Amino acid sequence: MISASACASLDRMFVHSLQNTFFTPEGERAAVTQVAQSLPDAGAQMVVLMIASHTFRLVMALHFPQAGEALRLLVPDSDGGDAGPHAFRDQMSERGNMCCGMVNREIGRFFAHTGMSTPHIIDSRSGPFMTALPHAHATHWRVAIDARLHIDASLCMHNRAPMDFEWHADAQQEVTGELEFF
Amino acid sequence: MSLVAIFAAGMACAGAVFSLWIWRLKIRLRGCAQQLQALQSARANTDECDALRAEIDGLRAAGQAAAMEWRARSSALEAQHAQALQSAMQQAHQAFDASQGSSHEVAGAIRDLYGMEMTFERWHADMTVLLAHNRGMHAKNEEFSLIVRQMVMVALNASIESARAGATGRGFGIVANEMRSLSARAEALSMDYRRTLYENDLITTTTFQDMQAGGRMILGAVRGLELSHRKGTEATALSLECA
Repeated sequence: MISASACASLDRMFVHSLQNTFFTPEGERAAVTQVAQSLPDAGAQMVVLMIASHTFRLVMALHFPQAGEALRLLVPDSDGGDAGPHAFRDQMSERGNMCCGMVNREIGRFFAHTGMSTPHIIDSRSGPFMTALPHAHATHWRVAIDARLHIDASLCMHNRAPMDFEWHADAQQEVTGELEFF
Repeated sequence: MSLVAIFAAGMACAGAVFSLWIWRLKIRLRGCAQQLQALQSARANTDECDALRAEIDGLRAAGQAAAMEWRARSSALEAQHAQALQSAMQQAHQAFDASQGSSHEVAGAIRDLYGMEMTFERWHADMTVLLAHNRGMHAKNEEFSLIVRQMVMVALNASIESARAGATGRGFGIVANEMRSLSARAEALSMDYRRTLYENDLITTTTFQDMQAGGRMILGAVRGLELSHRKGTEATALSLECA
């Protein structure tokens, strides 16, 4: 149903968007490595987003630890205490939107009609059930912000028609910077 | 000088004069012959010119006739074309009017389709209610879990107390053990219920997001349809104006 090339392309898209969403304190792209399973910390929350077309749906989840470090990453003005849960949630949603939006833009090169959901934040303890949802391809990734902080991310694809495409970040560089008209 | 000599000299002079006269006569005769030849040639040219002129006149007459014929044909063709164009324009106008009617219908249908957004908003509201409901169930389950944990402690204490009481507490001990067993089952059930609630959160969220993203995909397609429809209508109107 979904070719190995399409799976690899989806993973590359996701990793590329994660690297363009999260940066280290030094301003460099965060390292992203594949893991067997997302293991969010206790009290972590996850932002869930979806890209849907009539032939597939792609679920993405970002697990944000409920830690002072995460707060300092996302809300630099905060003191790490109760720096406004709303601001933290807004930041999580914004990062999720950025990440999912990049994937949506890239996957739109191959599929004419796609739609993206708004972000929803739920408890990360729902995360392990992602692979219980119908899916043809699921991968888990770890984004290392620094030695103490990491963000887990999951990708889950469910398709109803054969999918086969090839995507490489390098091949898209030449068109970046073009104006987009809506 | 003798008469013979004089006569001979006279004859010689006369001969010379005569020869000279003959020579001059010959020259004049040659000139006349040339003039005659020139006159004959000129006459021949005049005849040829007359023939050519007559031919030209003939050709001119034929050309004029042909031009008149072509003019007549051209006028007939122009009239035919004008009639055909008028007919085509009438048909085009009729088709345009018909397409205008259809176009209004399509525009109305597109407007109606945009109304779907309200449906998505309703789904969003439903989703919010569902998630709030799930949160309420989480809270109740947490409370239930605390009660169960307390029950486990109470049952354990009861078992200890019954053991202290010895033979008199045996019956109480059986009840306490039963209570412990029930508490353990209730705790397991509560934990399982909690897992189900988290799974339910994810299923609810992804189901709703599928509808929401699908709705946005449909709205995107409707926007594309509207744009194509507008371009088509503008192009038709422009082509009619140009015609």
